Amino acid sequence: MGKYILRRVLLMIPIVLGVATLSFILMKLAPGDPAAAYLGDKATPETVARLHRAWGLDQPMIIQYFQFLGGLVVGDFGRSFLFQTTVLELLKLRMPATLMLMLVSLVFAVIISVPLSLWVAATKSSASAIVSRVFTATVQGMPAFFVGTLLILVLGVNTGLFPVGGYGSSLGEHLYSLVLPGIAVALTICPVLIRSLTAALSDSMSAEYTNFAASKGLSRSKIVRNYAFRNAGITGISILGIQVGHLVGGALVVENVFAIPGVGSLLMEAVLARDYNVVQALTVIFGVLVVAVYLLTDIVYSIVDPRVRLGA
Amino acid sequence: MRRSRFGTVIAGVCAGLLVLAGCGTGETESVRPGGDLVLARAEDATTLLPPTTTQNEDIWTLQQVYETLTLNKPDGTGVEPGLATDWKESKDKMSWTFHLREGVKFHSGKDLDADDVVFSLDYARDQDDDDNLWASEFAPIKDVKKVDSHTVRIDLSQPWGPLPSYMALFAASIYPDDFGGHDAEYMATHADGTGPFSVDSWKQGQSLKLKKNPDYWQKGVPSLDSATFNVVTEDNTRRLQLLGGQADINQEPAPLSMSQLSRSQDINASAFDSTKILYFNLNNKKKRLDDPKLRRAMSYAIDRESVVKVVYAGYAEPATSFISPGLSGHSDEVDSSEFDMDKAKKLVEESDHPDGVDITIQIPSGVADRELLAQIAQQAWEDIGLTVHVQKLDDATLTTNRTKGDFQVQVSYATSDVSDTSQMINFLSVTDDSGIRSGYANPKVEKWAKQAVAEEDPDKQNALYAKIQQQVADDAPIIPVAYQKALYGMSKDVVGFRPYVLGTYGLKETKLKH
Repeated sequence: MGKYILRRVLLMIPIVLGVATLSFILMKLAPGDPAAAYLGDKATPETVARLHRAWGLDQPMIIQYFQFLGGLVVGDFGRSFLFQTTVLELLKLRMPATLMLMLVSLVFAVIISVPLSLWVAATKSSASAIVSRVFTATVQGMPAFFVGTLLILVLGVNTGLFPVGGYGSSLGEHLYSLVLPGIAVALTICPVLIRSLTAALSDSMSAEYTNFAASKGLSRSKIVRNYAFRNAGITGISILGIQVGHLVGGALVVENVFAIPGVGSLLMEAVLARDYNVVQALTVIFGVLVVAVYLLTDIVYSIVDPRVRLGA
Repeated sequence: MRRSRFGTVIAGVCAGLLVLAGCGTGETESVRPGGDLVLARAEDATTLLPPTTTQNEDIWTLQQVYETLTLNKPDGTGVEPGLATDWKESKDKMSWTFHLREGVKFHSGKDLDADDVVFSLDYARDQDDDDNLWASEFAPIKDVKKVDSHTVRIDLSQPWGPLPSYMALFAASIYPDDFGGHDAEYMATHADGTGPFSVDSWKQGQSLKLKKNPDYWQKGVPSLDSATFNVVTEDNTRRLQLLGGQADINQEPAPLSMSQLSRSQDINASAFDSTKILYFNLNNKKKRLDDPKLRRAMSYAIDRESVVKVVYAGYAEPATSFISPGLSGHSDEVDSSEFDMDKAKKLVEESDHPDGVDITIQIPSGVADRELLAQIAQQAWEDIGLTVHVQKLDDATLTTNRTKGDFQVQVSYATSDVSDTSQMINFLSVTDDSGIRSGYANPKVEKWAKQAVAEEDPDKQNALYAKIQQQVADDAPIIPVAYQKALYGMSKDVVGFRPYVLGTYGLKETKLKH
């Protein structure tokens, strides 16, 4: 397995290089000049030229590209034009909130999806099926920012149970502030998770080993818990892994709605301001994150299911 | 300057839900000193070093922390003593002498003296520093000299009457000499001013907290213990935070949401005078738009009264001239706001393009009021025989197009940074390479503008500004549409909060009910 992991890690290098190059080219191709964007109605050819010199944008494109790549190698993403500080400093400040939001969302996604799928599979009643279907269809039809606003309105403004956005300043406050946004992001991946888990559970429930267990006189709930769920859980893990990309997207939107100072809202600001270095850094980091999570999923997969051999 | 646009989408979707949201009691409590004022705004500060920024969020915050020799009066009618108690122009008009206030301390504890002022003004006008974006505003200054410990003389290369107004520009903020031994990079995140508040903490992207300066030279202020600026990108979330009591002030709510806010009994939806003017920026260098008759026709076709009602929910006034009434140089005699479709059609017939022309209006995407304005203009201009397209772009592209002259018509706004009218005159009309790149150049206007700056008699100066405004109304290089108000949603617990006409807020006079 060690060899397999090493090979996968090495494979990440061309992927990162590809993502980095693509994000560099796309940002340069995008219309709109960061200096003009920063200056707004104070932009004159003179002030724009000043900022180009200050930000190194007067250098030839190819030099800028190699400077960017050279920086990547040593972990230096350059400076943010908009925030006038290093990108690394910005990431240090804003990455924790996003990672925490993703983690809280994952927990909520599991808390919501697993019991619902188990209920449907264990009871096989039409009531549970209808509830599950109505829930997934409704949630799927509602974009995260809408769910977020609804949660703020009902649980924040009207009842005062949760803060109306913001992030607080201690760990407890962070977690408390992340409840509503966590639910909003979790709901974006719940429908897929519930459907695939329910389907996998149903498959397991009609497999021979469950029939055998039933013929031995085991209760339905015991069969689900001890046999069907273990096998269906493997599907759940891989689906969850694939959904990490969606979590990043969901966090981006939801962070803005809930005023969470994470990299999602940073990315949005950076794209609009054409803050090249920040956008490039975040693209590369998210790229690495998604690839790393896929690798991690494969490893966990092999641990949960001994039949899976990595490196085949 | 940059704006939030994402929230408008959400605002539309959830507008109906908000009706449910107003709840709470309106207890009357006494106003006592202290408290933390929480202000929600769309964007964070980007730096704490004044001359390196053009963002309103930076400027308005830094004006609580740093002070200038003169200070803008809240109503925009000129300047009053700040760190200087009085000032005088020399007889030959080639220099100004400023006497500094005694007993002023920086937040770090250092006493203010002439060396600090010489250093700060030299820094402000340093044309060789590429990070310094305002140096050209101080171009007439030749030298700044210390006369004694509390007297400074500013020598000029040409007479410059508006100098005291420019000394109130935030870019002329006063720092400790040599930044107190630090460099500009350090000062970008560590402020040391003489203002009523100092920077307590700054969590970038989340919040910036100011705390009361107990040694402030003006006794009795500020009343607040602290003020916290929270970054809340979404218009809708800002509004909900205000309704939910998590924020005391919502900065710049969308005009169309003001009536909803005002329905809550705990909230004041307030509109304040500003110098903000909304206008159609026409590229006079583009074929067809180089014809003044066509431009005037386009101006006549805009029904500004309706625009003010429909687009700005009444929180604006029809613009009669390109200089807003918040500036002393505004002329009541000039009125280019007439709405007359017959005149407009006749002018199109008389123009070089009687069969109409094809034009494109560029607007920022996702800004509801400007989209609505563009639709109204599209309809109006098509009615006088033009073919009009509307192109939605993001801000970065819009600004880049403007600096490159790559546009026909844009919907833009401008605000003045100084109380003197000259800045807006230069910005909006005079020179070919003015900020808005309209490409308009009229030697007469240029001559009057120069005369006005050198003129000492305010009446004569205003007469020259009136002539410029009339000429610009006749030439219609841009089409002024509306004078916008500065909008704020405020909890009724906030007392004495007042944004100045030039934009910053008077937090030192603000109090909170407990």
